This record gives sequence, C-alpha cells and structure tokens, in this order.
Amino acid sequence: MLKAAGGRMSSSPARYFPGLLARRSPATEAVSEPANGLAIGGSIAESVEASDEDLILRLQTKDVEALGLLYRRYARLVYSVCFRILRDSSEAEDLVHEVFLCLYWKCKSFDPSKGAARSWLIQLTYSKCFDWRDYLKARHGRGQGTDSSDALRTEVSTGDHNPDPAYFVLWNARMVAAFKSLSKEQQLALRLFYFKGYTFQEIAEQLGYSYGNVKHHVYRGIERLRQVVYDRGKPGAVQEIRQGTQDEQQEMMR
Amino acid sequence: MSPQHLEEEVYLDYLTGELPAKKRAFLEEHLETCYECRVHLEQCRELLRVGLPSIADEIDMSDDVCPSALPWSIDDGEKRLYAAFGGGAKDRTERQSAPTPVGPAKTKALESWLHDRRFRAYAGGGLAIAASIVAAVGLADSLYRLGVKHGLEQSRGMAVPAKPVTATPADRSIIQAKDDGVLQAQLHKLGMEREAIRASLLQRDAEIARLKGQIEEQRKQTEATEASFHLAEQQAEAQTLQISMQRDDLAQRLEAQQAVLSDRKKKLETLEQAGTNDGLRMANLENRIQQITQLVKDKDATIDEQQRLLGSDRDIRELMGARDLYFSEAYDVGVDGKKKKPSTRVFLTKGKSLVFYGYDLDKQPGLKNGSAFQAWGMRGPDRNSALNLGAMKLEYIDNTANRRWVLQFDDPKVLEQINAVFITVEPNGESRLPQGKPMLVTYLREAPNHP
Repeated sequence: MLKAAGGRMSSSPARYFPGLLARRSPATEAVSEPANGLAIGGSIAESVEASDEDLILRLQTKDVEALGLLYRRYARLVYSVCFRILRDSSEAEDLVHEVFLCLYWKCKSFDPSKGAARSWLIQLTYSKCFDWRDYLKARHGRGQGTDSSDALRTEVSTGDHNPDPAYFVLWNARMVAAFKSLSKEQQLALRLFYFKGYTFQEIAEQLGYSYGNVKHHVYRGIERLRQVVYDRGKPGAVQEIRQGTQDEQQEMMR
Repeated sequence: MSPQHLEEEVYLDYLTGELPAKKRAFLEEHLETCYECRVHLEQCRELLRVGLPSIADEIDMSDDVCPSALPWSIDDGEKRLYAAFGGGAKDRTERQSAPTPVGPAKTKALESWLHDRRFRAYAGGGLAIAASIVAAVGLADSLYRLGVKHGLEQSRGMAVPAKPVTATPADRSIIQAKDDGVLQAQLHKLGMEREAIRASLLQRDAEIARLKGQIEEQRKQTEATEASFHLAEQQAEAQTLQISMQRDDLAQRLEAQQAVLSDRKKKLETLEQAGTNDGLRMANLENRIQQITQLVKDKDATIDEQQRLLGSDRDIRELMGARDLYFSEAYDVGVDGKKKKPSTRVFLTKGKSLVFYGYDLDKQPGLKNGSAFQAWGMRGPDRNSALNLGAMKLEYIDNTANRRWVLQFDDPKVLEQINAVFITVEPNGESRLPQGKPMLVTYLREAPNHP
C-alpha cells in the first residue's frame, strides 16, 4: 500500500524539501477555510463569526452542531494530513471521521488560554495518523487484517496515545526546544519521515543520501529527543546528550 | 545500553515497522522479561505518538499540497458525523433536538476500542512518563493522577471490547478472556509502579522540605550576620566618634603644651643669655681677683723684702751700736803660702749674739752638688765635741757673682761654751757630727776690739 503510493512523491522534488523551520505562509492558512459553499442556510455566517475556540467550548456543552461547524472548517486540512501519512484515500476518509469524533470526546480538558484550537486539531490528527498507520503496518506485516491475535492487539493498543489537549500542551513545552537542539539533518529527516509521510527510501532518493544514512539521522534524532525529554533531570543526562552530539558531529565530519 | 538489553535500532525498527517478522518475535519475548527495555520502548513510542504530534503546528508545512476538494461531499461527511451521535443523517433542526448521541455499530465499536487502547496506553505510557520526568514533580503527579488512576478505574470496571471491524463474536470472547489476564497482570505491575512513584514523590517532598529548611536556615544566618554587621557598624561609628573626640582633646592639650614649651623656651633663652652675661662678669671678676692676688703677692714680697731689709738694718744698727763687740776676719792659707779664696768675718757681741759671714765658700776644689756648708762651735781640742751651730744660708749682696753665706746664733749658753767657730763642707747635707775637714777656724776668746 505504502509502496504503491510512493510513486507520487517524485513528481516535484524541490517542492517537497524547502527550509525546515520557516514560518507557515499565509497561503497555507487558506487550507483551513471552508472548502466550498456547501454550508447550509445560516451556517456560513455562523461559522465565520464563531472562533475555533468558541466552537470547542460549545462542544464541551455537548453541542453537536459546533462539531459540524468545525468539520466544515477543517475537514480538508485533516484529510490532507491523513492522506499524506496513510497514503490511502479510503483509510484517510475513515480517519478524518475518527479525528472529529475524538475531538468531541476529548474536548473537556481543552483550555483556550493554553493553546489554539487549530493547533490541537492538527496535533490530534497527526497523533491519530501515526497510531493508525502503525496499526495498519502491524496488520499488514501479519497478514492483511486477518490477524486478530493477542500480540497484535497488545502491540497496537499500548501504542494508542491520543491524549487530552492539556497533555499535548505539556509535551509541546518540552518538545519545541528539544527539536531545535537537533542537527539540521536530523530535523529534516524527521520532518520528511514523520510529518510528510515519506519512506526512508523515498527520502534517500530525494536527498541523494543512502538508505542507511537517512535511517541513521531519523533514529539518532528520535534517541536524542528521548534523552532530552526523559533523561532531563537525571544525573549525567546532560553529559550523555553532549557526548551524543559530539559523536554525531564527528560522524558528520567523516 | 548494556549488552543484555536491546539495541536502540531494534526498538525504532520495531516502532517504524522496519523490523523483520523473525526479529519481532525475539523482541517481544525479551520485552516480556525486561522491564528496562519495556520502559525504553514505551518512552520512544510516547515520543512518536504524542511528542512529535505536539509540535506539528510548529513544523513548517508550507510546501504541503492540499487536495482541492475532498473525495466525498462535505454534507455527506457531516451527516455521517451526526449519525455517529444520532443514528443517521439529520438536518439541523433534528440535530438540535437529539441531545444524546448514539453512534452506529462500526463507529461505536471503534470508539469503544479506542477508549480501551487509550486507557491502557495511559496506564503504561503515562507511568513511564511519570517515572522518567522526575524533575517535574508536579507534572509527574498530575500525569500520574490523570493517567494511572483513570486507567486503573477503567481497567477494573471495563469489559474489553471486540476488535472494530473484523472481529467475530467468538474472537471477541477469546480476546476478552485473554485481555482480562493481560489486564490483571498489568494492573499488578501498575500497582507496584504506582507505589514506587509514590515513594519517589515522598522522597522528593522530603527533599523539598529539607531544602526549604536549609533556605530558611540560610536566611536566618544571613539576617543574624546582617544584624551583627549592623551592630559592629554602630560600634565602629561610636568608637570613631570617641576617637575623634579624644583626638581633638589631645590636639588641644598638645597646643597648650606647645604654648608652654614655647614659653619655656623663651625663658630658657633669656636665662641662657643671663647666664652668659653672668659668666662674662665672673670671668672679669676672676681676672680682677687674679690681678689683685698678684698685687697682694707682690706687695707681700715687697713687705717681706722690706721686713728683711729692716731686720738687716736692725742687725746692722745693733752691731754698730753694740758695746762689747768682737770683730774678726779669717783666711785659710794654702801650702804655697797664698790666701785661699774663701774667707770669713765674725761679729760677736759677748754673751749675746754671734753673726758669722762666709765669702766665696764655693770657690774651692772638690765640691759636689748637694754639699752643705755647716758651722760648728769648738769646745776643746776634740773636733767631735764641737757643737752644731747650723747650716750657713746663702744670700746675695749685689749680684750673683758676689755671694755671701750667713749664720746668726743667739743662744748665750752655747756662746759661753765655745771658744772658736769653723766651717766644714758636708757632702751629704747637714749632719750631726762634722765629717768634712775644718776650715776658716776663727778664735773667739779675745778681748773685744770695738769700740
């Protein structure tokens, strides 16, 4: 499934690999606008007036209509992410549906003062995508969905980490600095692998690296993030991280 | 990582789906027994499922191409969404009158399954987070309460739902039975981990309390130090003031002493000046005294001379006026018949005095320095019975060339006994008996020849 979708990636390489951390352009914001004039009656005016955060607050009072308005506003954006990660329109469609249901279930702990509703939606979407992709991969690796063994259940279920928005806020506070501490190559590799949904092989082809090199950057980046986030506060953690950074630099020099 | 644990790449291969099936079995087997590797894997999984998505909005996706339209219509999608709550497509008015959402079979089952996964994930992942982020005590605590408690409650009361799409009723019962066992095991582990975290939190609380105590102690010490410093400062100021006053006092006394000293110096100078004047006067007076003393001496000498002259005059007058005066001159004659140079002249006033002159006594050979001319009175032929009359005294008549030796003898009893006088040269000064040869013998038993 993923290999079949990989063919689309090579059409315009330059478009896929710009500077990593440049701010989002206004054109990207347009994605979040309502896709077309499909809204019924007064819903257009209503959706324009009500902010995302207001709609989430309404959702906290079990106002299902607010969910519809959010759906009209962000379904296309969520779908684009889901399709990019899952590379299957049918799976992506199901997942969009799931994302908005999850929005309904998890909205209780949303605090507008801690972050934007749109950010949370994107965080939730990616989290769902990674979760579901792993599940699909595991199922694929064990025989195309016929495997209902306990091992598969455990493997995927323990990996379900779609938490409350407050939890994302806590993680975000640590991760932004941690991500910036990575080398440029690691940042680029992680961005392409996780957020753009490319395989190691595709990234290697686009960047002109070896397969192993790309994998190395991704894995070293993850391990580095893990150390910064989890080992912070442990005695000797900083030393280990510094040592890790030096090792990486030496490796890059070679 | 130690050799007995799995390598980092194996976890990540596993999580990214890159791990071959044959290695996956080995990994799962290892995870069953190794707590550390399980924690490590859960950390990585949490990082990928929550950590990376949490920064999705910060990652630049400006190059992302959004599909121009959805593959389904927005309305259909919205209806499907509402159907999850209301059992089918409804228009807006219907939706508002349907407050209690009840989803379709597939969605409901999926939701239930997702719930199940969420709780277990919280129980495992949340604990791993809480155990790892030990520095953020509050965060760990909140996560612990949020995740573990919730997870445990749910785990106790929940029946494990069936797999969403493909599970048959038979599968569901099997899965449920197996999940119960898994849940029990996990529940036990979670309980133990919870206790460990509680203990860790208690230790941390104790550490915080200890540090607070230290801070308080430090604060008190600082305050005490400040107070003592303040006190010392005040004391120093007081001492400075006192010293300043003492200095002023001493300065005044010094001025007074200097004034006294200056006054005394002036007095001393005055006295020195007076002393100098007195010295000068004393020197003058001494000079005067010496001059006067000299005058007195001169006058005494003059008086003595005059008295001597007067005495001589008296002797001369008495001799010139004496009645029974015997006058005689004597010379010694040498073998050649010539007179010798020395001579004598005798004036004898009978029974009264004898004046005996000697002239040129020193003009004879064999005289030594220290020799004395001694006069003797003869009482018979034995020279040794002569009476000592005394040494002749030299006196100058006119000058040093005309010298005369004189002896005056006034004892009448002695004059009665002697009949002649003579002179001896005594080589060792005056002696008791005559030792030299008698010369200038003059006889006295003659009748007076004057007047």
